[in-house]
Amino acid sequence: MASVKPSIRQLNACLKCVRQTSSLNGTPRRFLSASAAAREELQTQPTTAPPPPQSATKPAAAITDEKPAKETPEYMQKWGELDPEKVDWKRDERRLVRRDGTQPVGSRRRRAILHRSSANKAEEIAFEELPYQCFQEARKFLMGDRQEKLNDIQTQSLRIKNLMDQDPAVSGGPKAKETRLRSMRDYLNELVILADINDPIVKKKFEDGQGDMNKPIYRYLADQKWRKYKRLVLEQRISQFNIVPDLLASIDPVADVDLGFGRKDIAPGDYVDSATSEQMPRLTVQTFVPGEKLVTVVVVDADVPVPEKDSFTNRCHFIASNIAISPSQTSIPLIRIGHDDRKTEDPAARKIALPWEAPWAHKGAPYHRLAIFVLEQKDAKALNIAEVEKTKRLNHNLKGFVDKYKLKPIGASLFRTRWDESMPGVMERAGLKDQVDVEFKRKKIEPLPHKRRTERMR
Amino acid sequence: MNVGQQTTRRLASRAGRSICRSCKDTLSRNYASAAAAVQPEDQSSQHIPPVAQASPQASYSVNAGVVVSRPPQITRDLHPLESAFFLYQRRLNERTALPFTRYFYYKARTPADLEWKRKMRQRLTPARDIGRYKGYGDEAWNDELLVGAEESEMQHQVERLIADAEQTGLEDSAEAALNEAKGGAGKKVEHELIERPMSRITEADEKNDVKSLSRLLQRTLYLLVKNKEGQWVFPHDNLGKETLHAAAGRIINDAGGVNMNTWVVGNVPIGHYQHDYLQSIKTASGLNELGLKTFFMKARIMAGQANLNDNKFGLTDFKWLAKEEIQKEVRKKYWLQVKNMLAER
Repeated sequence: MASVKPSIRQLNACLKCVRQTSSLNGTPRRFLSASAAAREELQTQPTTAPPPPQSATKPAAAITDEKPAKETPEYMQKWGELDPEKVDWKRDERRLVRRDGTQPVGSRRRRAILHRSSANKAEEIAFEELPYQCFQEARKFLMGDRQEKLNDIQTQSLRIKNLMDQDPAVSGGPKAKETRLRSMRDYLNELVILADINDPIVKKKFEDGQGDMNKPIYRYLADQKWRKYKRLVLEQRISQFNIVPDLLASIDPVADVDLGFGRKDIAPGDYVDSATSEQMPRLTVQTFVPGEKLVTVVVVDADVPVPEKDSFTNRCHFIASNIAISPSQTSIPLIRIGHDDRKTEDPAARKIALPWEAPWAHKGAPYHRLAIFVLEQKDAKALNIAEVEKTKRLNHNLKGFVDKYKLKPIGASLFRTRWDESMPGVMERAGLKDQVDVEFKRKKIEPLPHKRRTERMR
Repeated sequence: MNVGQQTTRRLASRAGRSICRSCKDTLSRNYASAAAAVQPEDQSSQHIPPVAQASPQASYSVNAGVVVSRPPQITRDLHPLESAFFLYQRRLNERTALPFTRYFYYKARTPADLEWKRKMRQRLTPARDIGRYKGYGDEAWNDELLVGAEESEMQHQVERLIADAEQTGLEDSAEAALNEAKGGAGKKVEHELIERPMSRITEADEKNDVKSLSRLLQRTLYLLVKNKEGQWVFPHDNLGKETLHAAAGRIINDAGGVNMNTWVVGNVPIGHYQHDYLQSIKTASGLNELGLKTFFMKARIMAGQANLNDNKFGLTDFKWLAKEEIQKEVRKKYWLQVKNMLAER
């Protein structure tokens, strides 16, 4: 039964002002006392596959693998030089993998051509010039199509230029002119993508991860790839864990946010060991629209128990502002930003407003969801750090924060934390020694009289 | 009569002008008796007096035209990418499909089997027209043709098929050479003659005979005639008291003679041409003519040839032309109006 129907919602009070007793999407109110292991049903899939079972043969294989690296057996030395760029025999490929442990590069056709041309002392053949008939005919066809698109681009930019020079009165008012210009620019951008999307070199570069993110085609391909899998997973986690609407009213992720602690990558919703999360995370934020942005990064714990009220509240763990990102500048190394902040004298030039507080959970309490939001600052204007520093940590209201500083959420990620072996140490170092011994326990519920076990029943 | 119908009738008769015309029509159709009661009042209220025509009406004279076409006779030439890709696919198939089941088709140690074995030894693959290529073994992956190879061309493939049918595989063997040396003492085996396919380029193509119907076999040809004014147009004439379809049939006969087996496709025109006069003309019937409109009907020629000897429109010449050739002959204004009804190929 939905606890809040639209009819009884207080319409004269702002929705955001009403601190919700229940979430908007109809899930009942969460009580601290009621939350328990049942919530564990909602598990994220483990991202790292479990280690394969140790078989008896594996150590032996490992030894033989390592041995040739040090001293190659005599029969293997007879195989001679094997170039991964040029092996074109199945046997040689096998030997290359066995002896050198490297995979051959590219297709066997390509390697064969390279091998033959080098044997004939010919010059090296570029990928585009491989002399295969079907390949070359297809390239000719695609080049023709590309030329067509380039001509279209030229015409379209000329049209846009002409329209921009036109008097707004002729083109039906400034508003109509603006609309028309926008749709013409959209079409131009589409043509720019279409001109390159069939190029085999572009495809190869993108798949090899060598794409230049300053070019629209690589940004487009990366966006498509992100939307096909990673964004879907993130959306699922955000809705399953009720990040929306618990922390924000809505979010439409447009930037790919990768979260990691140290060397370990964290998939959205993973449990993170408290010792690991004692250090600041590292973020990689890939945006797909051109231009530099200033962003604010906020980390919020959405599950801080309040035993007095039998409820939960939020706690802000981290705020950093005025961080510049762009499609080619994706990394947000928070640890290095922290170092830089300590060195700067000027308090206004600092970036970290609220320093990192290690996530912690009481023993026996349900897991804590820690959400990380990347919020775009309006018009790339810097925020006043001194003012942001005043944000309170406990009972943090992210919706109010976003409204106050006119931020726009562009990306999010989340992880979870719970009581583990290293938690006492982490809490002690964070100055929470008095909290270490606090343990949440289940309240014993007295059975109803007719369920009570009596002497007679024994 | 049940209650529902009575109610409807009452409503209809009482409503008067408050029910719209179409609703009333619907009611009267369903309930004829109710309509009968209402009808007189209806007529008087809806009567529109005829308006006397003050000035002569402006109009266009209507012509019927006919686009006689000869459809393509052969398939089109393949794009170089298409032919290269088809051969690539055929070689790929040769390499991935199950091996040819020889003994299903040839009994062992028969002459046919021996011939098959000889030919297989020469071309290495069961397919007769994909060149010398081996689909199995270590080198099988290397099945792609290099640039400039002629195996993908259709003419080459046709020749290979003919050669395979004509030859026995013995031609350049040592045995044949020995026979030759003996002075042809061995029995000469007479083979059935293999019929060659007709050329895709005809004599009319070489001479560029625009009056011939055997030109440009891959394209649609359209009949274009030269009228009294010396302009090239599609045959057309004033539309009398007849349908467009009948007029099209008449025009074909009147213009190109009876020696054409044609078929007028459909009753609907495929396009129209509008010509505005500089000054409007008063016709005998008191109409003010602004110009003329020609509606074109589609027709196909199955056999025969056009003959302008005793045509009734004063035509002096005719041509069978493909689409882009028409553009060169007709006026630009005419072309812009007719180009979209002509097939691309």
